[in-house]
Amino acid sequence: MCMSHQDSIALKLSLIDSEKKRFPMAAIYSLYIINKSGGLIFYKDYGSAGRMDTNDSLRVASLWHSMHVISQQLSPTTGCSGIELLEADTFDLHCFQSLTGTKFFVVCEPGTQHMESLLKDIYELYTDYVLKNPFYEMEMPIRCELFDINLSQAVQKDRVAMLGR
Amino acid sequence: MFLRSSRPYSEKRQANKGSSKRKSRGENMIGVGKIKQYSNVLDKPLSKGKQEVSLSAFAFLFSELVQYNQTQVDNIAELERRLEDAGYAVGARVLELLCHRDKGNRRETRLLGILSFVHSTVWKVLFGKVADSLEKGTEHEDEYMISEKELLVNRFISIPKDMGTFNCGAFVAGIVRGVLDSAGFPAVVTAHFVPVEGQQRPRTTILIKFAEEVLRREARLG
Repeated sequence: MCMSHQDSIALKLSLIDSEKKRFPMAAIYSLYIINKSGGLIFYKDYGSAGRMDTNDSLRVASLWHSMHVISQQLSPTTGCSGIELLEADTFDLHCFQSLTGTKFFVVCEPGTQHMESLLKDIYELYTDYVLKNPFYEMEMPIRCELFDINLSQAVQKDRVAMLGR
Repeated sequence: MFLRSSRPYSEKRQANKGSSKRKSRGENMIGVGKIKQYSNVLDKPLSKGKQEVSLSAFAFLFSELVQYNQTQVDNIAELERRLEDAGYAVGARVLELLCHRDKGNRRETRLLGILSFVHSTVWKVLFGKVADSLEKGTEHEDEYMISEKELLVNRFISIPKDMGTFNCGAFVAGIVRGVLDSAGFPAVVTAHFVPVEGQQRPRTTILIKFAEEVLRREARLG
């Protein structure tokens, strides 16, 4: 007995759907914020896959900063503003650079959607709860309670929205 | 608002004359394009003022105020006092303005009257909403409390752990003290964080402690 063409397509689609239900949409491993000179000012990991000790996170941050700058020079197109997305086998790295040179990058599972908008939301939270805080010194590590609270809420909302899709 | 027109002076006078003729014919029209020139700046009517101001602009300005005062002082108590003094100046002026705009030049003489004025009118004009609650203190006769879930001035501020109980709401406490003092109700006003179970962020309470003479006067008035 052979299946018709439509039947085989329907079967393939139902298999993909069930796979999606067993493996829900991907999550973030870690979030880094680096200042314009490449120093790490904020690091947060979500889950053990992204966890790193302090020295390693500092090294990764300065490594990424250097690669970002070098990529601007190496780019064959003019007016390049640096690496925005790095896709590897086991992770994706999305980077957002503000106009002032502060870089927000997130390491997540491969294929995670909508990281760009999450990074823009995190940038907004940074401008609100870090830059408007009189006790924050520019370019120094971020130790603002309100920023942490709102960041967790934003990531949680993003996670819930992803599972809903 | 004073607007400078680019038309030559003679043309403008003719335009005004024409419109005044229309008015005298009974047309009750407020001309949008008409500009009344005032010879003396004191004759200009007090405007209603802009109803909305950018929150970000205020937040940055307030943050700079706190940072500037931090460089001038050695300890936290001094910083709180400076913020309160800054607020006091605002409070005195706000009372004058609000008495002219909202209350038709009536003067509050009773304690509850001035407290509800602060709690509703002053808060509405400064922060866009009335304060969350106004309570009478249980332990002392002369204490009253205005509570707020989160003061507008504190919206973006996270106090570092090593600053202890410092509260930038001292600025708002200063405003309240300025209003009360200028209205004839001298008081000591302070801002405190009050932890609430079930919530991460504590509530803010403005504690108002009236002077002896206020209570005596209030008792005399009956």
